[in-house]
Amino acid sequence: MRALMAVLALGVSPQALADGAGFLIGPLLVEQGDGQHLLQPAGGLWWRADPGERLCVEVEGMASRRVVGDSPVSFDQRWARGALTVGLRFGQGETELTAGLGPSVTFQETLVEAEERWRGSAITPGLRMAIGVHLPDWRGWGAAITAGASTRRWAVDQEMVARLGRRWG
Amino acid sequence: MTDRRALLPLAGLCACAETSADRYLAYQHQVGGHTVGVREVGSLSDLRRVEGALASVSSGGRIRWNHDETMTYLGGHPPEVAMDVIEGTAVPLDRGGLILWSFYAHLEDLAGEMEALGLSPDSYFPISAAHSPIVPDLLLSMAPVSNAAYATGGHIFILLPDVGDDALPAAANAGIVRHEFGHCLFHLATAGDLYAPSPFELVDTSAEALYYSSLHEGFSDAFAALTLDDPFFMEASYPSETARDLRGDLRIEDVETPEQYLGSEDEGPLGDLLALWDPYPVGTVVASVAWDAREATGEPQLVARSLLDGVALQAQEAGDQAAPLGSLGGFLSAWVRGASDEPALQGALCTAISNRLSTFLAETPCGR
Repeated sequence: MRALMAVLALGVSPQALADGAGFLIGPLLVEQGDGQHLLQPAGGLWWRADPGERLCVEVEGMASRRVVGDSPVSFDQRWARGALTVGLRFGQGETELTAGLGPSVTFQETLVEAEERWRGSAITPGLRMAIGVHLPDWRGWGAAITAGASTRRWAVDQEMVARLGRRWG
Repeated sequence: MTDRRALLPLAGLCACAETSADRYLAYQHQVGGHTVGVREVGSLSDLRRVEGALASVSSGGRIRWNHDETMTYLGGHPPEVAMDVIEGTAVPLDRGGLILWSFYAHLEDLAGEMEALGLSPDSYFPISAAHSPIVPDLLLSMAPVSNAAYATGGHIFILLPDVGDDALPAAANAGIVRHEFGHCLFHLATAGDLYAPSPFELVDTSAEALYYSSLHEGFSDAFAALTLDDPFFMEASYPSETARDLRGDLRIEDVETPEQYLGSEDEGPLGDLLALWDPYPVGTVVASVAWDAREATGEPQLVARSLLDGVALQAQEAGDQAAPLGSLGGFLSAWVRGASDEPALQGALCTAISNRLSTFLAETPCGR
């Protein structure tokens, strides 16, 4: 987890930290590398800074848990991802469209229970792309819908989440 | 840059996970269910991509139906099974990985069974497996889930994802894998080449073509049941499909025959579109004959061998124009005659045919 924290702390000026932060929630549509498509819930935190007129920097952390069970075997799957994206923002009025690209790291841990128990984990770096539609603020509160895709080796995970948060500065 | 330094430990952690495995987890068949256990890697050389000497799996893509009624698998990409290696055992991090590994494991067990039956695995392997492709089949297109198929004329195994988490996935069911592979054996025996089109065109609705499709299913059910010694191998995946339990008392009089189907004027609400021939009931009667013979002789491998001989003999006689390929009576006759070296087996087959397919008895040596 130290590595994940390092990613979250990447260099954006402290002044820009005051631009917005909040939580995200929504269905996470994962296309696993083996071809299974699973819809599962996800939650997390996000932080965004706008250091230039058209530039935006976002840090996002998401996590999910899913228990898949049948009689001979069950899977308790935990999943977390941290990502940093740097992108552009466009907009008319207060509604904005953002598009960003950057590194990500995915952590997976699974407990497999059958007649025996096995616990396996993996940390996989990757690349993240995301676009978002940010709605006009209301008294400093903001909302956005973002869609993203992140690689895990040759697999691509996709998600769509709703963001709610506080904007300041 | 700070970010590069931050990512370096991650790259190192990722590399550490590449420890090689000499075992992996897979579903293992038991009569009445499956368990999950550890097995040797064997010929599965790339666990992440589910690739080995017997098969390579691809995800996505589509199955193209060619003008000559063969099929081709287009597109698709290698799967990426998320895994960890714990003390030499590869552990999948999700259920999808376990399913794909189990599919390969069942193929490996099957290859061993085929050698025991005198079949050369080299004639059938390697095979392409398409996981979750777009398929040119009306029913599978409407519900492309919880099923598996063999694409004749393309030598392609089709694995479809499961919608539920409670039953054993079709692709991980050893019996269903063997059933689908049975189609491969039947196709090679009757069409002469794995990549040849079916002897009957898809639009052919003659009684011969319909019997041929039922024999395809019946042979495949019997092959799976006999090689696993499990008469209801699909129970763990489709527990409600009790009509396919070969221990039942189904007889030809209880099911719709091709002649009755062709003579029927009943149509569904969409006319002919959904009034499709169901090959399974007649197929189950044929497969039940095989199971009856297995019960009588106690030798599933002997019955399986006779079944293979029967199909080969009928195909040979069809090639010589001695009998049509899509004749149930012709198949039963070839099956019984092919078992002439085994009087006990031949007697068991005659008894079973007499009980379940009495209207065809006269076409076999049993009736003389």
